[in-house]
Amino acid sequence: MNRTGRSLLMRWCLCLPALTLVGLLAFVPAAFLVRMSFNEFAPGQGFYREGTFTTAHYAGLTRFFELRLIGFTLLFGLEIASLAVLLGFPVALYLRSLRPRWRNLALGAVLLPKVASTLVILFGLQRILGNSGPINQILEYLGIVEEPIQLYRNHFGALLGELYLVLPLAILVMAMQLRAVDSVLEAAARGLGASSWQVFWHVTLPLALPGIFLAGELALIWGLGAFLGPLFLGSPAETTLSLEFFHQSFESLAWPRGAVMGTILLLLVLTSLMGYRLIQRLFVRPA
Amino acid sequence: MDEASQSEAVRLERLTFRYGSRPAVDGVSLQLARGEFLTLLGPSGCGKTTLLKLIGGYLSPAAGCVYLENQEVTALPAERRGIGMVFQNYALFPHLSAQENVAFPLKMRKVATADRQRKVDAILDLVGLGEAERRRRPSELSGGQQQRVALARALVFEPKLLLLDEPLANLDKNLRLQFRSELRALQKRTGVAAIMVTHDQEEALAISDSVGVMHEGKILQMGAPRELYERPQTTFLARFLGEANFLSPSLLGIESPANDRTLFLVRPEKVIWGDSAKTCFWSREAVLKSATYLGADCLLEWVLSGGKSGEESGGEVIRSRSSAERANAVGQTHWIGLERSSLWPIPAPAGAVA
Repeated sequence: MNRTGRSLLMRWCLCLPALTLVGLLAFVPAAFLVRMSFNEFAPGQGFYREGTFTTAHYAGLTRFFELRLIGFTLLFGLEIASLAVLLGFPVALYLRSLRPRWRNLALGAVLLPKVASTLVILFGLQRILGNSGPINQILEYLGIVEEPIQLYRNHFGALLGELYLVLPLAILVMAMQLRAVDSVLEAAARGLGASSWQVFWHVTLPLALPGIFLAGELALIWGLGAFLGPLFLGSPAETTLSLEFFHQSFESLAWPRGAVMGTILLLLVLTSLMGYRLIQRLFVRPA
Repeated sequence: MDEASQSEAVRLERLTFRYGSRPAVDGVSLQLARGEFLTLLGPSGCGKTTLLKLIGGYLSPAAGCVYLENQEVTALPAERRGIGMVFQNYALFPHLSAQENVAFPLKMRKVATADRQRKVDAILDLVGLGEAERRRRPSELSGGQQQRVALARALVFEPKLLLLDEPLANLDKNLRLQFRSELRALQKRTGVAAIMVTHDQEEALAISDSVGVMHEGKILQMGAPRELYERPQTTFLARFLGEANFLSPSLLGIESPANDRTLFLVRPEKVIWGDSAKTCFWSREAVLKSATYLGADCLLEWVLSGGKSGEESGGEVIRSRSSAERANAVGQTHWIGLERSSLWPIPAPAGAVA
């Protein structure tokens, strides 16, 4: 075997652990999931009847409930993606303007929610947003409201909870891309007559765009699969495909119906990403 | 307004800039007429790039003033100075094509599209960028082509002044020589005043109307290339501008009012050797200690033979340059000589005698 052949083999070997993990934990279960969505129910005998094939579970998809479920999941994913980018980008810009020492400190602060347990954060948010929580207390004290207002168990709460989980990653991705933007280019643009706004619009933003799109993509995938935010801080109106998958599989024990939800979610993520990439191509010219 | 100030492109008055407490530019004053090419020459860390950034408005001075065509611009930000700058690594926008890069300053000035395209085409013709390259991104262009784009971008809006930060440093030697003359021709043709920064003395001497040598934030001496090379004011300058021999007056047999405080500079190419040396103003027998082949010529190191009358000449090394064919075998003794006109007196540095 020649040298390039050996080094190629070496690279494959180094990738093997990760590939095995992804293969075993993602592709194999996904294949099982899709297969299971075509199995018949087995009332009283188990979760599903093996070796059977029916498309009956998909027939229900045209019902209002299911269509609304799919629509809401897509909407929620898009909301999370746009909010993560819109709220995160100014933070990433701010991080870039700091001196290196403060920047690392601030980046650490941004990532802090990722260090704590997700459940702790969501329970904490419930307390903070609750009727006797600090926000309502302050609002009442200031006389802005007479009775506590509902800050969670609604759409706002679900979005907030999910954003808490996504935003740090989105900021990190965009901050990393901005770090790679050479500040000499911005100086050069100024020297060529560009105002601060023109520098941002014509140089900084276009060069940060790949990172912005990547952050949006991550947030979209995360948002489409939203589970914990809607579960802890949403109401039944904020049921996503992931939540419904959970309800069907572990509460109703209707595994094939749960598998249908999972399969639909899988397709939704894939088609959304394809659409996303198409839109991205309009804005980011391949290098 | 008198004629001199009307033709003035840029004037600096006691310009100072500090990094922390260390002055990077230390009270620099200079003046440059329209259409002139000035080169700031100095070792790295001498403050030449900082000075360029101060003129361009990328840094604010701690003290001093910058005038551009007699207008004070010290407080103006870079975008309002109308100065074109070529950065060391060109700083081309990677997301824009070559012609979009060149159109950038015009776009920022809201020049109409048709007018813009005409100017971009004209300047790209001038710098000699091929039609095919104009639609390419910087990453798809060679170093030389990127250089042309950067130059075109800095010139397209007819700046009052052109700043060049080591513009040739990233090119290989052949390209560098070609660009040097192209750059000079272009600058003459457009008539723009230019200030270039370099650490390459040959480049500085070749391209400029005047050269300022910088050291530790100060301009030590400024003048025409020939004046600087042949009549430097200090031994540092003499060495920085090229190979130098420093000979004491007593060795040369010259009476000087400040005998022990003066050295005579002789450039190696002015040293004559062989039989013709005997008739020179000063001549001696010397042993060829080493000969370094440099291609175009040879660098010879001579050790003066022990003095006839016991003068303090033993061990004195004199370097000379001559054509490669004349490089004789090392160890032979020859006459070497100097003409009076090739000697230039320089105050000896305090303490050591070179």
